[in-house]
Amino acid sequence: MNGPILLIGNPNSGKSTLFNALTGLHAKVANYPGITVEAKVGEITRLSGEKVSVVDLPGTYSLIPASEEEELTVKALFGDIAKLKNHSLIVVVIDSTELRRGLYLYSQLIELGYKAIIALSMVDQRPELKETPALNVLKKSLCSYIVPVSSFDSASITRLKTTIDGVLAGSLTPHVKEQPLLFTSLSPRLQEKLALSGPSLNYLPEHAKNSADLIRNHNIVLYRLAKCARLGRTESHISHLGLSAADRTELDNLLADIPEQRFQRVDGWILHLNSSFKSVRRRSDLIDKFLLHPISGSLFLVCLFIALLQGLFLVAQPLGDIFESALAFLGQQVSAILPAGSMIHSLVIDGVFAGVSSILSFLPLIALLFLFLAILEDSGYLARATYLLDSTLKRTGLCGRSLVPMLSGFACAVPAIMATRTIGNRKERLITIMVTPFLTCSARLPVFGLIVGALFSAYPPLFGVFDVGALIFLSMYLLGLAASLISAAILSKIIKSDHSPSLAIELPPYRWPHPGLVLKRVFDRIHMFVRDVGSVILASTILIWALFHFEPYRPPAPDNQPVELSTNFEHSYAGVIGKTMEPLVRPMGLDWQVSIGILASFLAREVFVSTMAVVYGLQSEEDPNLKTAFKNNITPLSGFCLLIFFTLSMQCVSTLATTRRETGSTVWTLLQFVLMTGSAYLLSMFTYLVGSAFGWA
Amino acid sequence: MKENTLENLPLGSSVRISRCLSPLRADVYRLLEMGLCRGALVTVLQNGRVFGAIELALNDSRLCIANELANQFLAVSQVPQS
Repeated sequence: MNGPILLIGNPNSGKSTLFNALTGLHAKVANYPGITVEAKVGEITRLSGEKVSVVDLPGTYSLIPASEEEELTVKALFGDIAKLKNHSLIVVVIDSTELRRGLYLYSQLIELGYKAIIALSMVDQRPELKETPALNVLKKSLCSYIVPVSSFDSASITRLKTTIDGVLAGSLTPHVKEQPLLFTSLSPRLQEKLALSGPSLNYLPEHAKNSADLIRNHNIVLYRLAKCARLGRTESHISHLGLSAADRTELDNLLADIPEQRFQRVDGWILHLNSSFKSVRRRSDLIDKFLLHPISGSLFLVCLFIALLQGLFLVAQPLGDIFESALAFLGQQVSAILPAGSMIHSLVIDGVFAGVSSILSFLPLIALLFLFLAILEDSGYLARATYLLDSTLKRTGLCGRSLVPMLSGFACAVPAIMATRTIGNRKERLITIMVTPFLTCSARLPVFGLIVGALFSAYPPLFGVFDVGALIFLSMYLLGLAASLISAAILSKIIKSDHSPSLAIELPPYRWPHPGLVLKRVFDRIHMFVRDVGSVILASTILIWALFHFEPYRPPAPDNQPVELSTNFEHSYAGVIGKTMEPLVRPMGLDWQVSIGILASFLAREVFVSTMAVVYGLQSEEDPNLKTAFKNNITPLSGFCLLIFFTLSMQCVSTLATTRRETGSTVWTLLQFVLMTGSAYLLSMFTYLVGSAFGWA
Repeated sequence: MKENTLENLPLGSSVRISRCLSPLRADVYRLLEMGLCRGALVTVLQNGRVFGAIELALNDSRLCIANELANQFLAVSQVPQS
C-alpha cells in the first residue's frame, strides 16, 4: 500500500483549488500529534482501485519555514510527522505566471532526492506552456513530469491522476540529474564534520543507508540550522554540533549565497521560455490604484468593515431566530414523548436542548463572518487590508496579520485564536492571542441584549436623536476594542523579542472567489466551532442543570426510590454557591442571585441569560417576564457595571483551552484569565463607586 | 551608477537590486527566497510615506515590504543618471 501523496506549493499557487479538483469536496481536516496546525486530507482512487490519501499542506516559499503553518509543511516533508513519514510522492503545484518562484521550491525538494512531479496551474495565462514543444524542453531541463492543469478542465485533472498513478506504479520515474547544491557546496572539512556529527543528531531519518540518503540527511541538517538561525537559536545548535566559529562563518556565507545560486539554476531551466505572457496584473493594478490609494483606499477599508459588521447583524439575527424556533418546536415534540416531571425529561429539555439551542443561535453569525472573510481572502483583498493596516497595528504591538484573527474575534475567540497561526513572529502572535478575546464576540450579545433591553430601553433618546440602548451597545464594542489595543501596547513592552519582523507580503491578483471552495472552507470552520466550542457549551449547560437540580443537604433517597430533583433552587448547589459568592459582587451593587448567573457564565458567557431565567423562576430565557424580573432586581448603574464586567472578563472555558493549546503555556493562559477578569472586576467596581458618589444609583 | 535603498526611490522607478545588507536576517532572507536577489528588476509602485511600507512590482508579482526592510536592499537605476 502506498503512503500519502503530499501536495505542496507557494501561497496563492492554486494548490487548494487543485486539491479539491483531485479529491472532490469530501476532504477532512487532519490533526497531527504535537502540532497545532491542521492540514486537509482527501483521497484519490488509482486505476487499480487502491485508494491513496492526498494531503494539502500549507503554502510555503521555501523549506526554511517562517511560520507555524509553513513548519507543518517542512515537518511533513522531512518525515517528522509519523502519519506522513512514508510519503510516496510529492506533487509541487506551480503557478505558471510565477514559474521562477515555484521552481525555487521545487529545486529545494529535488536536492533532497524526493520523488516529485509538477502540476502547472494557471496555464491559461501562459498558453505557450500548454503547447508540447515548450513543455517538452522544460520537462527535459527538469527531468521531471510536468502536467499543465486547470481545475475547471476535467481532462487535465485526469492527466494528472494518470501521471500520479504511473509514478506510484513505477512505470514513470521522475529523477534528478542536477548535483545537490547545499551540502556539496561546503568545504570537505565541514562536510566531514557534519557527516560525523550525523549519528548524534537524533532527528536523522532511520533509512540513511547510501550516499544519496546521507547527502539528503545532511541537507536536512542544514535546513534545520537555517531555521534555528531564523529563530535566534543558532548558538545552542552550533554547540550541539560542535562547530567552530570558522565553520559558522562558512555556513552563514553558504546560506546567504544560496538563494541567488538557486535562482541562477532555475533561470537555466527556463532559459528557452518566452518571458512575456498574458498578465492578469493589468486589471489588478488598475483596481489597486483606487484600493491602495492613501485616501480612497483607507476610506474604502473603513466603509467595508462597517458595512460588514452591520450586514452581519442584519442578516444573522433573523436566521438565528429561525434556528431557535425550529429547535423549540422540536423540543416540544420530544417533551411530549418523555415522561412529564421525570429527571430524564428535565435533563433532555432543560439541559441538552438548552445547550444545543444556545450553540445554534450563534451559528448564523459565525457562518456569515467566516463567509465574508473567505470571500475577502480568496478575492485577494485581505492581503491589501493587511498592507493598509500594518503600520497602524504595529504601533500597538500587533501586526497586519493580526487583522484576520481580530475580525474573527467579533464572532468567536476560538477560531480567531487558531487563525493566529499565520503570524510568524512569536511575540506578535502571543500578543494577538492574549488580546483577541477582549473583542465583543457573539456570545456576549444575548447578555447585552438582556441587560440593555431590561434597563436602558425605556430611556428617551439622547438629544432627541440617539437611542440610549444603541449607544450603550456601541460603547461596549468600543470598550472591548480599546481594552484590546491598550493591552497589546502594554504586552508589547513586557514581552521580550530579539527582533520583530517587518511586513513582507505578496499581493495576489484579484480573482473571483470559487463558490464551492468558499463554502467548503466556511463549512470546515463551522465544523471546527461546533466540535471545539459547541461541545464545551453543551457540557456546561448540563453541568449547570445538575447544579440547579440537586441539593447538597438533601437526605439520600430510600432504596429503590428515584433521586428527586430539587424544586427550590435556593437550596440547590447553585443557590449555596451563589450565596457564598455574594460578597464578591456586592461592590457592584449586585445580589446573590446575579452571582449565580455570573458563576455559570464562566463556563460560557451566554449561559448567563438562561441561568437568570431559572433563578427568577421562569420557564425559559424567551419568557418576556425575564426583563421585568431583571429590572425589578437590578438598578441601571449595577446593570451598566455588569455590562462592563461582561465586556472585559474572560468567561469562556473553550477560549482558555484554545489559548493553552496554541501557546503551549499554562502561565500565559492563567495570565489571560487574570488580566481580563481582573481588569473587568476592578473597572466595574470603580464605575459603581463613581456612579454611587454622583448619585446615579 | 549611484546605489540607493529601495525605500528612498521615487515612485515609478525601475531599478535593479545590487546588494542586500544583513542577508541572514529572517525577514530579509525570506525576501531573497521570494526573488529579491541581486540582479532582480523591480519597479516602485507605491512609496512608504503613508502606510509605512512600499509596494514593488517584481516580475509579475506585487510585493509589499516595510520601509525598514526596504532599507536593507540597495539598488541601481536602470537609466544612467546624467
